[in-house]
Amino acid sequence: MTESTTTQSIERHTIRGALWGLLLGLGLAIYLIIFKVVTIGLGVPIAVIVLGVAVGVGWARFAPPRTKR
Amino acid sequence: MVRIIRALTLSAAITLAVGLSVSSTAGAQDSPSDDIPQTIPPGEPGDLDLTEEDERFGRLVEDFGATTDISDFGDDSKLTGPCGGQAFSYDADGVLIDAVIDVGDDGPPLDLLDGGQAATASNPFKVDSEGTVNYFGFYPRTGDGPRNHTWEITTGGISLDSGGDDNPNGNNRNAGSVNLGDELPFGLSFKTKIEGSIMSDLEPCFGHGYIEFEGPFPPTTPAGILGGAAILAGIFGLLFNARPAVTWKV
Repeated sequence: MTESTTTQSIERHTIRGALWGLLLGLGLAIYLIIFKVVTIGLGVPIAVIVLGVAVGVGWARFAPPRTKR
Repeated sequence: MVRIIRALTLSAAITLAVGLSVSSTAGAQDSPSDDIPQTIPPGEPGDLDLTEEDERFGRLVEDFGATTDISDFGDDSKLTGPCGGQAFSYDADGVLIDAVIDVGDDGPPLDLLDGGQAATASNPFKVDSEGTVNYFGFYPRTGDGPRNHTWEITTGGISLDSGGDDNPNGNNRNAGSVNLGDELPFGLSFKTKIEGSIMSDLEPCFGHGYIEFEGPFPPTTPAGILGGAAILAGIFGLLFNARPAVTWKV
């Protein structure tokens, strides 16, 4: 008779997080521009997009995991 | 998109043509003379008569120079070189919303409505994305205009438009009207800093300043809808598609 063991692991989606964060950052950059919080240019919008990617990656890496059913 | 860039370019050209500075030795008053707004046509913008606009420019310089003194110019806007002019911005109903003049010295453009420095980050040249802008520009004020000139307009280091002309007749001034409602496919709201230059056998002109496009409530514009959709998609994607998950293996 064999004894089966169950191992638990956490699956992370870093690439997905980066892509969704990119989309979030892009949307935020557009809103900052159309509400005239920032002027059109490359500096701030790119910084916001990079921040969005960082948030997405951070979320994908460190957010509390959900249980897969 | 090409039409948007064209419209931006036209507006940038207006700013460049309009960069102005009134001599810092001009008179002294915080608000412009009552005569100045009366010198600006109240509405119904249309094609401009070059001679008439040239005369109007002369009157504005005379009125403004006699009543205004700004001694502390910032670096937000500037037009250097022997070019200058004026621009009047109207909303879709023909109501004047902004007016700017540059007399052609090395100082920055001036706001004809509030008497301050024009086209700055805090006081950008305002245009209605469904309105009209009338402009008059010269290079130089007297004498032959630039032959074999080239010009370029950029924002954030990116070229919006460029061109040039032999100008064999030596024309030195131009006047016109830009209907942004016709040029733009939809309303826009944003603020941008634009740089421009024109090179020729004459002394070159360089200018920069801020322009603010006023339009409908931003989220209702195509850019707003796109941005809102991206934000929502990003949030939902992060919540439901990128969150770490616990898995088991038997």
